[in-house]
Amino acid sequence: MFRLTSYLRGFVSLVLEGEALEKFFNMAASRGIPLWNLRRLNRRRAAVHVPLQAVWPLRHIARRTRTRFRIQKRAGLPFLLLRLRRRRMLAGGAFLFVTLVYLLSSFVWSVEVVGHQALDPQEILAAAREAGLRPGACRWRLGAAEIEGRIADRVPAVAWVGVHFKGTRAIIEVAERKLPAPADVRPCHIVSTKSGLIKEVLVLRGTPRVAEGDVVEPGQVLISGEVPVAVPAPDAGTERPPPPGELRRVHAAGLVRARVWYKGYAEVPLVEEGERPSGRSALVMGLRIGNREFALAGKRNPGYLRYYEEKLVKRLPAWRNLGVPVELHIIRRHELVPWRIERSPAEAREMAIQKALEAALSGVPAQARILEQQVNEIPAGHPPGLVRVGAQVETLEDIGTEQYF
Amino acid sequence: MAWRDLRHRVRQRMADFLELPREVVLDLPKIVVVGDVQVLIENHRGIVAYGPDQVRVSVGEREVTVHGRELVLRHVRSEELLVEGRITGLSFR
Repeated sequence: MFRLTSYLRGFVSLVLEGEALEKFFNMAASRGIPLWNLRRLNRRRAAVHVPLQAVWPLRHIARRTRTRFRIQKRAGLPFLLLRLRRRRMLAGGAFLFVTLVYLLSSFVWSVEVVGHQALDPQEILAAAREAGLRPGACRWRLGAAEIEGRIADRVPAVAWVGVHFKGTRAIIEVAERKLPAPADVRPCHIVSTKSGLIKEVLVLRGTPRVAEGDVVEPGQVLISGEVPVAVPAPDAGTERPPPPGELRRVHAAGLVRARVWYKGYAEVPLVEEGERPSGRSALVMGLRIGNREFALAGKRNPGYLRYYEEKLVKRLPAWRNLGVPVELHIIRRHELVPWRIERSPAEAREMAIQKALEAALSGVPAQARILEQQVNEIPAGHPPGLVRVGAQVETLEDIGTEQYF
Repeated sequence: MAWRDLRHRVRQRMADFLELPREVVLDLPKIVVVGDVQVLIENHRGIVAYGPDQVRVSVGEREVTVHGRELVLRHVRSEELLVEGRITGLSFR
């Protein structure tokens, strides 16, 4: 606190010279003049800091104690201001700088939209522009609440809008309303996605093209979107019935369930061999400068019989096309150990069945109902020591999908 | 002298009885020594002599001498004095 006030009011460093300096100190202290950082330079001289406004009264004390003093250093705000007054351009420049930064920061420089998903940010920006929020607008004229209201009015798909400023950046945060998807009315066929045996056909709209018991191929039309125009009843009037064969296209809809078969196959050898990581690994670090490599840490040869490498290359980010030709290589070597599994024929068969069923079921959609599962072992063929199993899964599922004209 | 001694004793008694700090009642200096780096002398009567190895301060009837090296008077006020440096000793005379 004392330091701050002494800086604000200014202080000077004096060099005193005289025979009775102690007298000078006591007199100054008793008159209420604070002295600080008092150092003895030699027998006749001492240096001391005193407040700027005390220099004048000290002259009297100096005269009465036969001391001479000389100002060695000036410090503090008053002297700084004095210097600034002499260097008007510097002060003006500093002031101009601060003003300019303040002025420039009171404009909106960019407008950003966050939180949008399906909405076009341009649409929101256009609404904001209409409300006055655009690059170049003065910040003090913009009311966030007003802009929020205007955007919410203009863009009905927005459930909530928040506008806030981050420096010279305006950020429009939006939360979209979940609008119900408009009903699909585009004309289409219902076609088959899979081959199967039709079990039931339920037509909601359109003309059925298949019946129960039919075998269908993928891509075959199941329910046609072409409907013959209804012929008005004969007694409806004098209007001429439309010519036969005139068709109207509708959005076909319906449910076509069919029996579908899936096949899977798996083979399991009685003896299996391979390699797996042992969990032990060694780290090697190297530095590449230009075309030369230097080892930094780790053993070059970890002593593993077999291993695989994981290599990580770190380089400094390149600027334009100037890259630093220094790379750090971190190589982790994982040891591999061999393994061997021998299975009994029963074990191998069990496993093959499991795998074959899994393979067959992998293509079955979640909505399908599984009717039957079958497995049959295929007699061992040429490579002996192999159990081969085929699986068949029968399901009942909706095979229709929309295909637009 | 006897009169003065008596007054001194009465004052000391009163200070003890009223639990007042003695330096206030008896006009004694209060000296705070911080490690071997700082000595604060309150209620002094003026600097008698100041050199880099020795600061002599008048405290009423007696005199305090701070011995040390590179002694600097950090603050000089009418009521307190702050001496800094490498203090080696403090004596009364």
